[in-house]
Amino acid sequence: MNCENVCLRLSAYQDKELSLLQSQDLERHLESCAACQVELKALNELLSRLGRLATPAPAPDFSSRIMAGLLTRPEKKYRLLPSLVPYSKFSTIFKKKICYLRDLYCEAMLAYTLACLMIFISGFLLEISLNVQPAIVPQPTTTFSAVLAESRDLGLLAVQDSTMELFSNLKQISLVKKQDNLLSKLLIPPLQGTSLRSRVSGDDYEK
Amino acid sequence: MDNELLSDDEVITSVLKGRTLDFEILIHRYSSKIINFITRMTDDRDEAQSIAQDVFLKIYQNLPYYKKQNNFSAFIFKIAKNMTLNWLHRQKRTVFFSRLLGQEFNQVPFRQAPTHAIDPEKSERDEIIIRNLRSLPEEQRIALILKIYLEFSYKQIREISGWSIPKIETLISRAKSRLKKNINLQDKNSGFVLKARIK
Repeated sequence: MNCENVCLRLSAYQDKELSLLQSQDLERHLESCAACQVELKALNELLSRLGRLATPAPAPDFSSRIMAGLLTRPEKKYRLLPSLVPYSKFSTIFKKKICYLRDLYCEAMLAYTLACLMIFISGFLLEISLNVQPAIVPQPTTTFSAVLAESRDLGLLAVQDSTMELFSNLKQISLVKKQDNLLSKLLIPPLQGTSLRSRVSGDDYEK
Repeated sequence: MDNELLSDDEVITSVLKGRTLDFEILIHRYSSKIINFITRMTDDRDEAQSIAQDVFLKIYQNLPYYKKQNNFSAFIFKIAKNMTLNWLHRQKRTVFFSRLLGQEFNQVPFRQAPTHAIDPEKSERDEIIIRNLRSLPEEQRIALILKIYLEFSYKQIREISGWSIPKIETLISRAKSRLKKNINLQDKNSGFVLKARIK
């Protein structure tokens, strides 16, 4: 045991917290080391000085004041969570949790949380009810031929836009696919680089 | 049977059965130790009495949670330690905000001015020790006070604080070294002052 180790353990030695073996090792070192002896002496002196401080005593009416406080404590008359605890039946942890819940502050917090939850749920429901979309009124479908007839009167661009809106339905798209070649060749001559084929996008068209 | 001969556990059982007056036995047994601990921690005797009262009320409230196989002393000192630390932290905040508002510039940080009269017989050396105890870091101070003034073993301190034994050993060792160094230094300084006064 060197001086550094001894200095680290001197305090525990002084407090009599070392094992017998450790104490014997340390004492063996102390016998041969004057510096460590001085250190121990200084620690002992410090301890005696610390112990010299006067011990504060409790006030004469200390216990009577506490007992008065205990005996006059008002009983809780109102409980959000009534006495639902046959304590002996539960494990200690569960018992502790239940007892915490019984505490008035926890009850207040619980009530507050429930109120917040209610407000949140009602707001959520209100939002859902406001966002419900009105029933979709079925619009009269325009047949492809009718569009074509109409398109001829209005011009090429108008035909393409209006048909694209109608083509959201798959059946109509497939109809366009089937007749596209014919339409583009015979009925709707391409103008300024736009064609019905170019406006119907997606892989489905390729199939 | 004489009440003083009852063990802590027997007294607690009695209190839990509804004999509240038996709680006074526990107060008599532990009040001086608790007040000693709190006074050393806070360095304010009046506040220590007040905190100790709250501690005993808290102990009474928490008696149902006490497990009888445990050390009752550790149980109550754990409560005392927590409540004292709460008080100290509250004091820190109070001083901080009062300083922020510009009300108390001259107050010593983290400590209320003692309301009790200063004992004229208290030697200057005692004052030095108290001042140095107060300047120790919180954990070191708790460990040292529990060891020196309440004579708890390291195991009992572990039960109270929840720290490991090597940590407790280190805390106490460092606290002692620090106190030794500071007190020696201040003794020398006060010696110089005294010599100067004599001259």
